[in-house]
Amino acid sequence: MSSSGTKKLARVSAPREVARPDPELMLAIARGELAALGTVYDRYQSDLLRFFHRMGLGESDADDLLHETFIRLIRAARLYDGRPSARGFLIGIAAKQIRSRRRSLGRLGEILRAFAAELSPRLVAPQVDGGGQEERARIEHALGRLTAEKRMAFVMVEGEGMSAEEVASILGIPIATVWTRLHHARKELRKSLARGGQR
Amino acid sequence: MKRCSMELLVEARHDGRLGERDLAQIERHLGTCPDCVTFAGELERFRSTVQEIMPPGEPVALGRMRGRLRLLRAATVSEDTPSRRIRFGAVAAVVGTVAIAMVIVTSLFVRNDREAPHVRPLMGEVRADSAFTAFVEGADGSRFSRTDEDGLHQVELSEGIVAIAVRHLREHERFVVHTPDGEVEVRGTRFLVEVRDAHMTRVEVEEGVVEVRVAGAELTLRAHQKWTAVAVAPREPAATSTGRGEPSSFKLQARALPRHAHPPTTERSLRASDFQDGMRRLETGDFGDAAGKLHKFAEEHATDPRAEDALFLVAMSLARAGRAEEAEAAARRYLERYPNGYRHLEATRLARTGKLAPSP
Repeated sequence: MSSSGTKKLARVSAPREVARPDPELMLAIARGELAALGTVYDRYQSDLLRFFHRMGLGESDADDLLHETFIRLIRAARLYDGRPSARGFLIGIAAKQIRSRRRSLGRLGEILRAFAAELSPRLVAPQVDGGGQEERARIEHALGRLTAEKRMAFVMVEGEGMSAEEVASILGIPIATVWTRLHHARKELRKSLARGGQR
Repeated sequence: MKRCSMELLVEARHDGRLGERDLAQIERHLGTCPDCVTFAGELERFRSTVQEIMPPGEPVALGRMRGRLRLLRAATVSEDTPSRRIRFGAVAAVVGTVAIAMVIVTSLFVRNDREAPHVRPLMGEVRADSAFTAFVEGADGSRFSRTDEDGLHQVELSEGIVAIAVRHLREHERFVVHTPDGEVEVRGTRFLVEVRDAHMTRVEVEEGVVEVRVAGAELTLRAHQKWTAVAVAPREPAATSTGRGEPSSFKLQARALPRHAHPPTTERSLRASDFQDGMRRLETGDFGDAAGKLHKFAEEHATDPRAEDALFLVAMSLARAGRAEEAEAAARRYLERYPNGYRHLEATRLARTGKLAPSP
């Protein structure tokens, strides 16, 4: 836009972008179109935040990783395989961000886990009313005790509704390993619940 | 605990991994095995529980806009190294150091009785080789228009949320944002404007100068000052007022924002700049000033991972400045605070002699 002369850009808004299919948007991101990045962000940021939350991340960590995921997308968009929905692709990037974050914070995590294990069950277990909510709280608590690998497989398949093939491809592991992790995650959840949600 | 041998098949059924024949077999089994029925129920509850886990949060639209702005900043700013720069067409071409965020929180987004969440200071430096005056982006459903005429750049915002990045304006240029009941004129700055129910309710200035005109009154805000409409935020303490005929329903107030009003990212960057400032002075041979800066950093941010280095570098800077006694004292402070520190040997020598070890 020039400072001289007149140029009208009425209704500079996003509705046109909203209708664009994911593959087209990903191509646009790979070409460097910021508007497309914004549209993909709007479309999937809540899915990713939910995924981070299900993976047990706090609000600020989830915000940071959401941001990092989309920054990573700018470079990764050219690798998009053209599937109709970019959700799985984005969750894949998000999963890598979590793993990378976990590696860097691994030692701290161990300390925190040891600390959490020493808390009394009363402090650890969320205070909720009624049987259904209480059980849900216990399941959530047991979920928090799973290893990150098992939790990720469990959240991706059960929470996000992804297929084992998709998860295997994202995590770079054999499909059988996904099923194994899922099986062991469930087994540990059951054990944990049988012990009353305690360690 | 007693486990039925068919549990693996129950799990496979839950995952949709069974063929027709196995599925029929397990369905028959479920009709006769209460343990497996319980297990199948458990699997369903695990699934529904994880699906019900939702992030807590602020109104979706506002959170989303905030995230977009953060992303926009990262995508348009050259960050750590040239290799990390992202070329983003026209936006990458935007120049200058100015950013405005306009946040209009309508009744769709935020309940009237709720304190608006703090919005992080927005975009930092925008890259510098552009013919563009400004980049304007709106959230979904936002209604705004933009005109550029003979150096007068205007955004007319009637509803929604808009983020604007403006480069430094030339002498004859103006950039004005019009809201239903007021306007904000950019003078080269980063700031935030909030509007509720068709009224401008808050302006916070992060950097630079902003002129606010609302309800017939006018006020200039500088860095770290804030204006709020009293009717919306009655708890805000009054500070200064322009006293230029503001109507009774509005009072113009400005006050310095408390340090803790900055979000953690800003706090981190401030810390980083304190440390870097000290390091720069050290590199340029300005040892006295370097010692002062690094000492300030080490004292004010004792828990920062760089505090140990900073404290040692204070002693080193003083030694290089020829202030041996002060260097000795600084080295002793380092040893007291970090008895097993990485620089223990060097600090011990400094504490004894006030001099650095000769270079190899």
